[in-house]
Amino acid sequence: MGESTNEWNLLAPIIPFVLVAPLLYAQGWESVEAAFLIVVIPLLTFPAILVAGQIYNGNETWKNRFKEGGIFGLGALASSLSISLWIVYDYVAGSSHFEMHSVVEPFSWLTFDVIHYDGSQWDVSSGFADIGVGVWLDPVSLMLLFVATFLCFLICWFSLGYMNTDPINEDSNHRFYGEFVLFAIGMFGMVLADNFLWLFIFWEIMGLCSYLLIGFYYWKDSAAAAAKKAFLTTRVGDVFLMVGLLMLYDIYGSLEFSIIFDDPSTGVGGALVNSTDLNWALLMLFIGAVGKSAQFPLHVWLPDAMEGPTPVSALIHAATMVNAGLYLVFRMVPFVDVHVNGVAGLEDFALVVAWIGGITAFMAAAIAFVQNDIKKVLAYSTMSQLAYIFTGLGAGLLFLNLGEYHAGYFVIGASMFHLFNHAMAKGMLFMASGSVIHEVHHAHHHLHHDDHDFDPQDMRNMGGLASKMPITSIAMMFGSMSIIGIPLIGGFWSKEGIIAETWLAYLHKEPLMLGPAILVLATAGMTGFYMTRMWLMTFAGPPKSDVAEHVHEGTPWIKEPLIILTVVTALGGFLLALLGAVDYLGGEKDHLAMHGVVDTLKHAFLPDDNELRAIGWSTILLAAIIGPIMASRVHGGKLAEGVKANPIVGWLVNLSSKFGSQDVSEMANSQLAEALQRRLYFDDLYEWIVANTAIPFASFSAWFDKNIIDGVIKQIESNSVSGSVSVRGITTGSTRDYILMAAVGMLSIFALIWGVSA
Amino acid sequence: MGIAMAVAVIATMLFLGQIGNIDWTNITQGGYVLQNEAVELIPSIGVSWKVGADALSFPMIWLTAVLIPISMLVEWDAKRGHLFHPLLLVMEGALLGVFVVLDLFVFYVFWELTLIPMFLLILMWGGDDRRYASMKFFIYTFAASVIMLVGILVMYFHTDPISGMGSLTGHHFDLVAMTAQENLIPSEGLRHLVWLMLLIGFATKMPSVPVHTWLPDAHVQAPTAGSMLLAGVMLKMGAYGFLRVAVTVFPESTIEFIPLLIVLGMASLVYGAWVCMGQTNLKRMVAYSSVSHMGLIFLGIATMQPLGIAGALFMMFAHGIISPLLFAVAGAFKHHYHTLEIGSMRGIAHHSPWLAAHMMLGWMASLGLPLLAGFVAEVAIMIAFWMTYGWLVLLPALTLIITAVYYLSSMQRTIFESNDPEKGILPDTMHGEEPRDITWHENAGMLILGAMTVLFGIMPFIFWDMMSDWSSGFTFETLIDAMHSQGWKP
Amino acid sequence: MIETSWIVGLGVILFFIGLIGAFTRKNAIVVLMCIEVMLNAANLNFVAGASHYSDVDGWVFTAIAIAIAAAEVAIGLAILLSLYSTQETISLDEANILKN
Repeated sequence: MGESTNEWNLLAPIIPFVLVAPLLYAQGWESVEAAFLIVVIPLLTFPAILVAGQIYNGNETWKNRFKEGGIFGLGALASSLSISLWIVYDYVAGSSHFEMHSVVEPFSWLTFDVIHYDGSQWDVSSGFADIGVGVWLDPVSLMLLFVATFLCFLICWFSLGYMNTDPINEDSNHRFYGEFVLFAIGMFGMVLADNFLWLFIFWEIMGLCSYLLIGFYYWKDSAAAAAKKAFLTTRVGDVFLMVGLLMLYDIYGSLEFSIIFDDPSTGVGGALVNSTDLNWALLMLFIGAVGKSAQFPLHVWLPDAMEGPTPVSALIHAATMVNAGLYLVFRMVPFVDVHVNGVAGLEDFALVVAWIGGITAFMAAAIAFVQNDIKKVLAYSTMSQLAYIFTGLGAGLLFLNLGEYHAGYFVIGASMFHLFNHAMAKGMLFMASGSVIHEVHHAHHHLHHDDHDFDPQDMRNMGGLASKMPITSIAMMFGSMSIIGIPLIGGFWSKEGIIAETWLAYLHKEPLMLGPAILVLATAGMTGFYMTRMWLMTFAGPPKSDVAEHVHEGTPWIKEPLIILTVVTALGGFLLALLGAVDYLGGEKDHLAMHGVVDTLKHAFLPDDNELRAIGWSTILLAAIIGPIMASRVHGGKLAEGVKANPIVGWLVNLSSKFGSQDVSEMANSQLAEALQRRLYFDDLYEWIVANTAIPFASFSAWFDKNIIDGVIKQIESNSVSGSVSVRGITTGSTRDYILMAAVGMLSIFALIWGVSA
Repeated sequence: MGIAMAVAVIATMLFLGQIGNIDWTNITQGGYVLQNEAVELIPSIGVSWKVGADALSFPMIWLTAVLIPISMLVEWDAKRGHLFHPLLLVMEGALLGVFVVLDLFVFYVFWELTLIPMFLLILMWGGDDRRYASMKFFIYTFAASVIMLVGILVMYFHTDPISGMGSLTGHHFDLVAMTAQENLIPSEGLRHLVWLMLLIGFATKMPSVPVHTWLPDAHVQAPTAGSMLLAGVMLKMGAYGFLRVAVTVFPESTIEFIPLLIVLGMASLVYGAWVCMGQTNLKRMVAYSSVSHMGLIFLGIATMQPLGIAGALFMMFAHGIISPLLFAVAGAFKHHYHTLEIGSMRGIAHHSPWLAAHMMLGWMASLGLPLLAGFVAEVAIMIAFWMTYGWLVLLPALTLIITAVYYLSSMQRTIFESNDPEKGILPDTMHGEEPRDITWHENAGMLILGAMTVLFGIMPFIFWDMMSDWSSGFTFETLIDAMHSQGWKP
Repeated sequence: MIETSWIVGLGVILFFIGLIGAFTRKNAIVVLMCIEVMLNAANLNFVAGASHYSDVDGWVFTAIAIAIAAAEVAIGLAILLSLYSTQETISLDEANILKN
């Protein structure tokens, strides 16, 4: 352990996996035809890893050569990545084009008949229905497919370093990789699914993996509880999502995208779709999305989910799974798009989406102010950024439903683009935080062997790491910049669009949009504060504990993903913006095309609309200047004497010490801070409700069943026993009585027969 | 032991071998296959040996044939195996009899015959309280089926004579002829009464709230193989009989009593789930979860949609694979940790990884996770339920949350949470014994069950197609007319 | 030829003698004898019926009844013997081990 470099020869088993895509191409396959393999290859790999791990546990070759299954997991993900790159290439640069979408003919999974009541009698003629499974691709699913396969691969790579070098994971890593690959199946499947039912199915698979991986350290109380909390909270949403599916099915007689989206205004049998029905159905689906994407009021599980290993937090709880809710809301666009066959009258639904997004964004950012756990800050940041996207989607749905389709498409595209930027940046931030935690833990392990109270995730134990972990600090800097929305970097290109269009919706369309508009603008500044705070607490200033002085970057397999993602985060946003990603994702354009640097910059910084210009610049001011400066005043500072950081981050450390310092201990002890520490009491409230309603009611039910329902049965039983005891009294034991009884009985029989025959 | 196993396996193989010879077009169109020429058993009162299988009974037969060898495998080391395994064979014969005969007299004989081996299994291999449990099981279900017998006899006395059958009484027990006879019981009041009598017999077997209390007692005391068969196949007899006799012969009464079905189904489902949550005994909890899941079958039938009925059929089948897995896991806890108290141990996954893995799979399948067998049934029933009853579906849907709560809590408090990566907290009942993982034969049995759960979750159409065809045919040919005549609408 | 009704009447009288004896006597052997008397009264009726209808069935029944009576007496005496050996009495007032 320690100073070793990557053993590149270990990667040899991956080669055949990577060759799958080129081989299929050579065989003359279309890329889309191979899409199902993206799911199937991991599907075959994951049981193999689990079973092999169970059998070869402890075996040296298994441990060192195959990294307890990690190499196979990486291989499967590599083949998924290569196939998805093939598909992306085909559609973006190659010969294939979306007409509106591209569907591989669904395979019929369940077939059944349905009968309808037409008001006077039952109609049996036109009832045949089936639920199939196929592949659906459009720009957004293409983007998500790339995000999912790319990040799954990189994070699996990262795990080889992060998981396998930690002795606590020894002999259980096969479980990690098996479940990791199973998760990948869920995510890839959800993105590719061509109907709502299969979307739901894979959605639930992801929920299962989230449960399993949060509870990876199953022996820890907190991990087991967090896993349960995550599963149950999302389950609440999922149940409503399922009800939403039932309603959609009832309306359209199908759950397939191609059938529903073909004409969402006509339901089964050509009936006109009632906007109230559809409103309820979409609302139910939205509750599911709220649960999965950890939005208010079902947000309580995400911070606790950080109990899982850090790669899991990076992949599932930041970069991919939590985006499922956004994807689902994006799928609602055709329902509301009155420009093409949408159903009018769904503005209320759009408002709900925007408000939920606005509230969550603000709340999560506020809670992030007081977190000291580096992963918790990132968790709340994730919630907040996802909420941005919800707000943007809400605004987009509103525009589309009111017929403003240019603005609508634009903000929908911006939201999806933000999803991309956020996934890349947040995946990297979590990996970087994992790198920090890993090295701090490692250093601590090196120094004190028996002190178990030390928390390697607590930023109060860090500080000054900029000089010790150059790659990590650079990565984290660019990640934070992207999340904050520093001009020209990553998230800026999408966040601007969301905030501006939300304000536009308020100004021109709907006064009720004022709330979300103000909230997201305020959140932009808050994001600037808490992300800067996190970075400064970790990397700037003098070391805050002796452990932090002994940290150094040395674990193999960790650096490569960070470097790759730093490049993507720093440049990807700008490049894609130049290519018109927003229009492409929003559905306005069906191909990526170069816009020209000047045009793009002008569009972002000097829009024609004066109001937009004002909003854009105030966002930049809040997020990029005021927020970070406030954070610097509290947490900034030079490194310890005689230590120098890499110039790429050194300037930032030095800059942070220039704004003076401010003592916030009084504010830190205020009631508001306490409330934020307690996560605004939501967890307490839910716990109190469950403890005072569900649990007593369950105990009462058990008691009722045992004592009342079964009690009645037992009463019947004991009554019949006591009845037979009293009947027994007439047997006196005296022979004479028996004879008398025999005689009397005989006579009565005779009398009876006589009576009957007469 | 070995011989019994061999017989069971050979029987299963023979049966599976026959599948290739079946004319599937017939089975999926609501007809019977493998139907023989009726052989008269007691000509004077019209009893004949008439067997046949259709898509309603075929999955059940399949289930019985597959589950018996698996349950033998799981309890391969049973004490007095030379008695135990033959009893399971008797059980197999009786169960198969119930599912294949088409003559109500013989049906009733087999129906009661299943009680005897199960009674003996509980009485001779049961836990500490086995006497009480076996007696309760026997008398409770016997009393209910006697009421059912009265109903059957009333039906019998309304049959039209068939030449050569029932020379003495002029009646017969032939179910197919009864179904074909129009308006078997002309008087509406009497027909409803007979329907209710049948319902009492079948609902007790299913079991449905409020006549379910024999089940937890029987399960807790029964040996593992007994529990597996009890939950896997015997409970399905109730649902099977209900569909085969009560619904098929009296569709009008069924429609008349749909509110009752919904009440019973909802009560079993919702109330059963709440009771589950309040249990501290693992096996008792799993037993109540069976009650809860069986409630969905009534709800599926009550939708009067082909989709819902097919969902109910698939529920019978899926629950027949999943619940044996659950009981095998619970039995393994009893076997290796000598207790079933939830919360008396922690972190068992460290000592018994295979057991923990099987528990995870079984528990997840039972709470309706997609791509495991139970999900398709639940979704089908819910879709149909929404189509017919609208918002009422929230009740069963929200119950899914309760289901998740009790399953996850029970897992958390047995296999997780020891707060020590090196060892779990063992129950007091271990008395210092070294904890072990499950034995090879338990593992093999559970692996087969788990594999089937996954197989039928990913490829439900193996059985779904025939079930769906059956319920469509049944709805179009039988229910629609009754719905029109009763003026029933959603 | 004696009237059948006379013979039946004798049977009735014999039956009631046996019945009253069985009720009133304490000694178990006497009770047993009384029961035999009742059986024979029944046999007499069978015989009377048989000769009245000129049917052989009555004879057959009588023969069976006598055979059963013989077996019954044997069992009865055996019970009395074991009663005596365990309770040291054959008085019916004192023998009530069948109670409840």
